[in-house]
Amino acid sequence: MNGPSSQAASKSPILQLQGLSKAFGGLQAVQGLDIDVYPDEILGLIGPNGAGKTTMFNLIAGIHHPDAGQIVFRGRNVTGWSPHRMVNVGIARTFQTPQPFARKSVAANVELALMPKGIFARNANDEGRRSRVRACCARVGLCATLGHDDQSVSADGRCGCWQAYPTMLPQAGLRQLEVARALATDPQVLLLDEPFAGLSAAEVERLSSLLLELRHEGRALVIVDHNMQGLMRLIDRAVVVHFGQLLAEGSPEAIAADPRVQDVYLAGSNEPTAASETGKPNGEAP
Amino acid sequence: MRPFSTLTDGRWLGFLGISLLLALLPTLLPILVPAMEENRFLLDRLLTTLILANVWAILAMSWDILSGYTGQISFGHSFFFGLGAYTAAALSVVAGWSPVWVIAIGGAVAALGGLLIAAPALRLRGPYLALMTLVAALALERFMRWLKPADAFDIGIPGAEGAILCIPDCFLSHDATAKYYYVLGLMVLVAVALQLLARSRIGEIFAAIRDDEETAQACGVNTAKYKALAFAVSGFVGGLSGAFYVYHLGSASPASVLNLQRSVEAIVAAVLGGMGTITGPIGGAYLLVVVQEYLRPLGAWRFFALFALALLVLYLLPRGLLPEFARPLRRGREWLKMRWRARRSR
Repeated sequence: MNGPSSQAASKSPILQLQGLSKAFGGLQAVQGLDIDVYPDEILGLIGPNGAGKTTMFNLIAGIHHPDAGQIVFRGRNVTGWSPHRMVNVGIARTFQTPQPFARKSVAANVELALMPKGIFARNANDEGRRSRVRACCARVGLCATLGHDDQSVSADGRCGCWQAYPTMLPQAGLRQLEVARALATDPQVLLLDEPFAGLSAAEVERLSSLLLELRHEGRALVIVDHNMQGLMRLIDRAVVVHFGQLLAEGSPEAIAADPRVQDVYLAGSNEPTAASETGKPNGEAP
Repeated sequence: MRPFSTLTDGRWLGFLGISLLLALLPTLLPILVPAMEENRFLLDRLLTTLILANVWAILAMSWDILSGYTGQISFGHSFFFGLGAYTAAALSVVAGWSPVWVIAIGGAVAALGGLLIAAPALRLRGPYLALMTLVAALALERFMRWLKPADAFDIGIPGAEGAILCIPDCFLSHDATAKYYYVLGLMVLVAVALQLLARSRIGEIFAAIRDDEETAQACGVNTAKYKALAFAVSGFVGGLSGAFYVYHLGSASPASVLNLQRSVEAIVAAVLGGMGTITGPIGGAYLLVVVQEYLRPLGAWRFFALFALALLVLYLLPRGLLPEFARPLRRGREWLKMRWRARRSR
């Protein structure tokens, strides 16, 4: 799993966070964070609750504007760009709690990401778009989750995802829909906020295979998750954040062995503990 | 996604059928109801009521595309109504242009007003946005009272607080039937245009913004741009209704076109008919105006009766009348289709 790490290090980073800081009132959520993300690597972002992981995601996704520092994507300063510009430039995200459009069909949820975005843009090539929606849904396993055959398509090119609504999907299906929507934007960097939450071991395994495939395509993935065991096996490199600051950075093995990380996060053990599984820092009341 | 293909679906056929029926009303009623043949006043009263119903229907649809369809709740739609109305009143007196142009310009000015409101509104959500639209409507009402256009531009009633009397320039006709056809045509045109917009790619994006703006942004949609567009479209349609109202009334005054009751009635009509349906608010507006008019003997109590009815509908049918009535019709149609297919396969 950790092979591409050394290769990645020889490449230039696709995404750079340089001295990124963000405060909410008196709370310093992120402070002087420097992180590089390389193409075709899976970067795990680890830290206890309140460490600033989601704030960091929101800063990269353009939801929050940093107070200081800059975000550089493929050599271009994209600091302060709005969320839609970040998506259109190649940085997509999934949400911690799935946020589908409940009144749209599963396919329409994905299709929105593929639509021309300009007000006066021509809405041509419905057929091409439909086939891309089908491909995205099939790739993340939505068709299988809905009990449909990937290949069974109606005369107008629609699969079963056009008849299904997000309310009909189990938790794993909603996670798949989040990934399908993000994939539809064809991102170079994919930010995944707790993609394994609420999934069974088999579902975690399936999603992990998909994420590895995406890495092999040259995409960079940044994952936040409390499922430490699943995450440590998947990632090439980990970054540990504590109180908004960078605590440690390195391979999963090095991170697991780092006494500072054990001290603040892994409760002094090399094995992930119950506290780390639930994301609670050592000693914090559940 | 293919808006024109939706013109053949059941709801459209129903809407076009009802529009045709409304168009034939002035001809059919005197034949069907002999009392109307003998007493022209009865027919004129009904047509005048329906003219108002169509004006409120246009205003309610204007509210629906912004608030029901895009989720940007406005409590101050009288702002657009008033802008269109005052533009029409002033232009008809000053320039004396044809009503078609004046009404269109009234809509365009209200669309600009929509963009003006959209600028600060893009930073606000939920109750703050609703409050801002309400304050904008109140501010325009106060501004027109202060401006006294009659004194400032020598148009209208000297000394009257904010009123413009534009008869005969902006009086369309004494013939209720002619006015009825004008406004019915305008209402049908607006309904078709808004329904096509709602079923288009832009409508899909509007609905996505309503359902979850953050997710829409995560799909790469510039939600600020589309919200501004929704404000402009809504403003344009609201302005058209206000401009036509002036041609019906022959004047514009803060009490008649900038009254906050206009905003409330537009919301009640849209919610009664079915928010986010575009055609539902037409039914809501008709119900509102017809009940209001024919309960006149109750005096001020009629408003109580009307709003009590609205509360009852909201409680029993929270999705509004159209979706509730459409559901059994849709099921019936599906059942008929199934029977038809079964018979053909035999």
